[in-house]
Amino acid sequence: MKDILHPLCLAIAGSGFLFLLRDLAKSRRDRALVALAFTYGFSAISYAVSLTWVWVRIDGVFGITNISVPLAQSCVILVFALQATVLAYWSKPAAEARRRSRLLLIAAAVVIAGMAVLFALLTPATTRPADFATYYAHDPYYQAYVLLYFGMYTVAELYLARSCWKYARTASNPSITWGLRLITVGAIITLGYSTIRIGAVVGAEAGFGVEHLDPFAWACGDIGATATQIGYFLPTLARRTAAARDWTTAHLRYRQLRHLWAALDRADPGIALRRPAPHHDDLLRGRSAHFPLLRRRVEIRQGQKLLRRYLDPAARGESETRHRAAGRTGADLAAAVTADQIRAALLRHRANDPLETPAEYADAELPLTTTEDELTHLQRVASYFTPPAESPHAATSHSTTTGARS
Amino acid sequence: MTGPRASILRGSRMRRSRRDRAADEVERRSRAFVAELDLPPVDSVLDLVPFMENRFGRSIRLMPFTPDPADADSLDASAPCGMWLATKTTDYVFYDTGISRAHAEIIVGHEFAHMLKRHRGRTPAGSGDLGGLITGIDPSTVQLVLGRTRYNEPEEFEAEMLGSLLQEHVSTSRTSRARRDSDPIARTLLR
Repeated sequence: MKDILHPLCLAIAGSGFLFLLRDLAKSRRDRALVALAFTYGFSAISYAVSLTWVWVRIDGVFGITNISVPLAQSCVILVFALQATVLAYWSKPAAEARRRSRLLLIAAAVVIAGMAVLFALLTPATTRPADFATYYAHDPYYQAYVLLYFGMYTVAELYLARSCWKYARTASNPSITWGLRLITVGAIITLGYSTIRIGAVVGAEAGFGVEHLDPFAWACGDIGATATQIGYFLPTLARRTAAARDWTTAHLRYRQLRHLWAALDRADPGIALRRPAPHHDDLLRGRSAHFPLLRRRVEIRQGQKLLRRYLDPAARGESETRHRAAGRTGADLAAAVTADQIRAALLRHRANDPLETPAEYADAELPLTTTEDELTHLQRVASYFTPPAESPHAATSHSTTTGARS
Repeated sequence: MTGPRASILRGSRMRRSRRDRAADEVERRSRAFVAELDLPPVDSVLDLVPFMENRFGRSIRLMPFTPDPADADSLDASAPCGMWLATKTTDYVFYDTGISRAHAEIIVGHEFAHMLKRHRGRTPAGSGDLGGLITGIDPSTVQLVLGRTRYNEPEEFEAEMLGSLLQEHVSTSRTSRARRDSDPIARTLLR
């Protein structure tokens, strides 16, 4: 069981460590993030040295049988100290969190020293990568070792579960709430591991055995720890997923508005701040379309502004009658009529035939309070818009007026 | 392709490329400038007024106007949709609200950009150039009115770019960045 779960856990902890290292380059001052990165790093080391083939190699290199046990478990003790440090930075002022962090690391060093002494007092005869814990359950030094290590383990996991459950209630973001809850669940699952290991020691004295639960113990330890690590990453994962969705949506919207923008740009190239780059180039280079989309929205509106003198009241009336008859109402009606108005105004602009008393745009009274409202509306207008056929003299009839403001 | 036509196409591509590089440079500089401003999180470009007032120690008056549909001249393409007018103590920002609120924000952002970059224009316009927008301001107190120019004027291009970036700032600060920065758990877990 251990050799199936440990490589998977190592991959998750190692990947998490590398991702956090990359994030640390941007925010080195965030001490909670530094502590979290080292949590993943030590966690990855603990899994790596517990792999059977690594375990055997380490025994050979150090010349000490089963040295991987205290090495891996020392890393786990450091993981607990660092996790508690992260919690301290989340809940206390920076100076107090720093003090707490120092105390936690000193406490971890004391526990590791104690474990090292007790391990040195053991008399391990053979390498036992698969059943070390149950094999030595009767050894009194090992019993003391287990009580020290798994006692700390249980306390640390209980503290983690309790704290994250508490913070989840007041989290500022739903993905953080779910992430913290997953950490809590993971921490509770790991208690199965420590309970079985302590149970083995108690059973050795009380006359019962828990050897048959060994695979279950590894599963609890590895699944619980992995759930905890995924919990820390869940908010970032949710945020990155949302960013990918936004990236795609912006490109789709940018494309949907293209023919409306292009028709207005043909009528008056001055609306464009700069010539847009070919869209497929931006897509291939993974560029965001947020700023080009903002400009496209602004330039469409600027184009509408420049056509105001060409808005024929009769064209608006005819369009409203037709779309009302088709059952359109509200914002949908306003968008459909505005699209028709732009088309008619473009034709009138091409003919250089402004009106003395033009109409207003049908969408002038729409309550578009946010840029998002405006984008949604312009998408609707674009969906109804059919550009007028190209004029054979289009190349020479472009106005040189620009939309610039003072 | 060889001959004069190919040469014209190559020349056109080179000219476009030079223009694009110059525009890229203005965008890069403008983005760096906006980043250095340390703008507050706001829901609208119009909400940047206190920030602008603190920065310059001058009061700012936003002056919305809607063109009169009965006055064809006010709807003309050449009619200003925004204007910055400076007196000794006050900056007046006139902006057209006839298209939409979001568009009005871009116009105000453009005028704020002129102020932030301390643009002075080429030729201060006289009170006769104010298009009938201004009432209640003594023309003799007016120190600066930026004349209406085009995007191909460097200052206008820069102001439009910067104004757009101010609106981009608004949309990104709306995504609760401020709340994230003030919440230590979010700061660690939302990266």
